[in-house]
Amino acid sequence: MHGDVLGAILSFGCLTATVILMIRLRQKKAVHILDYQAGVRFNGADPSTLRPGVYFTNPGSDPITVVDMRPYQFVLERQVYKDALHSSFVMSLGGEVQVSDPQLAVTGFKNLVRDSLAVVYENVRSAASRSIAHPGVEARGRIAATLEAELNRELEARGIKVRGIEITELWIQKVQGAIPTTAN
Amino acid sequence: MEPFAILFMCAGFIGLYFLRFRVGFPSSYSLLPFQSGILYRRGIPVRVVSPGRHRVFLGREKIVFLDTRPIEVKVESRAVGLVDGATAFYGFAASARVHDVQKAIHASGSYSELPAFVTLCVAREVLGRCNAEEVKLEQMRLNDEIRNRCSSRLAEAGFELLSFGFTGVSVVSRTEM
Repeated sequence: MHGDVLGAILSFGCLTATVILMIRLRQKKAVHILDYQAGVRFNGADPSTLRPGVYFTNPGSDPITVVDMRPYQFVLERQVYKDALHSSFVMSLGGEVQVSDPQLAVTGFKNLVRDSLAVVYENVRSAASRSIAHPGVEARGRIAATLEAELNRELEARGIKVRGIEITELWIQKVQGAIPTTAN
Repeated sequence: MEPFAILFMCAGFIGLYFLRFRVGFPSSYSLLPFQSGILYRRGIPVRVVSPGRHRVFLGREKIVFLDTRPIEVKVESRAVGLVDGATAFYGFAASARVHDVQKAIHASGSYSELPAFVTLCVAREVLGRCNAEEVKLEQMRLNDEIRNRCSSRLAEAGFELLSFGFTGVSVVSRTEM
């Protein structure tokens, strides 16, 4: 009699535990992090970066954000800037923006591609304003390298970087109106 | 039913479920004739997969595929400043397709925009180094130069340039503007 009751309780306990465990396991989803991606897992206040692999996680309580580490290309055509000597110049350039620190990038940008490109465009303007424009074709490589280094200094804190900056057009706008030859 | 039988049954169910996490659930995936992809196992690329049906173990494997149909680029009414102060107005049409899936997947987060990026940058850069006379008289040479440079840059990114040609080029000198 006691054995039957104990057996029934044990059976009921096993079945209940199995059902609960399988419900918990079914809530877990597979997250694939491929070789060109990185994962950021938010465990409380400390995020951790995950390497490529497959991770089973409960999306509600243990979310993993997958970050694409591949470069995104951008083109800026015929933008007018002012350089350090306050000369207006027209510049076209192309380059790539890429995530350098996935944790910083995920916490800093809501839409990684769109928002990071907006930040890059803004920083191109401020970096260009600190340089001196030279219309010579030979100087474009040097200006591009300087621009890239300045941009990466500004963007490092946001977890992104630019690479492969190439200046495809650069010329100085003519000054409008006469310049006075005498000073007051 | 015996309690131990129930215990073993439950253990069996749980064991099968844990096996799902380790081995995966067998399934299949079909790639269309114009698709090509890479089979990833636990996040690592294993092999390139061609069109057809492929077995994958869900939870462990994943196929990432690209569309290998030609990507058309058509650009109109662009302007570039020439070295002698004149301005060239140009347009071009180009097409490219994915040739090496592995390179193309890793080359860009938006692979379909890569041909447009390369052709825009190269065309502007080549024309911008010319003067008005060169643009007016040497269009064939410039066309070939741009095509060759685009072809090599796209090949590094896993693309094959199918065609490139100007749809129109005109020059406006500084005095006319």
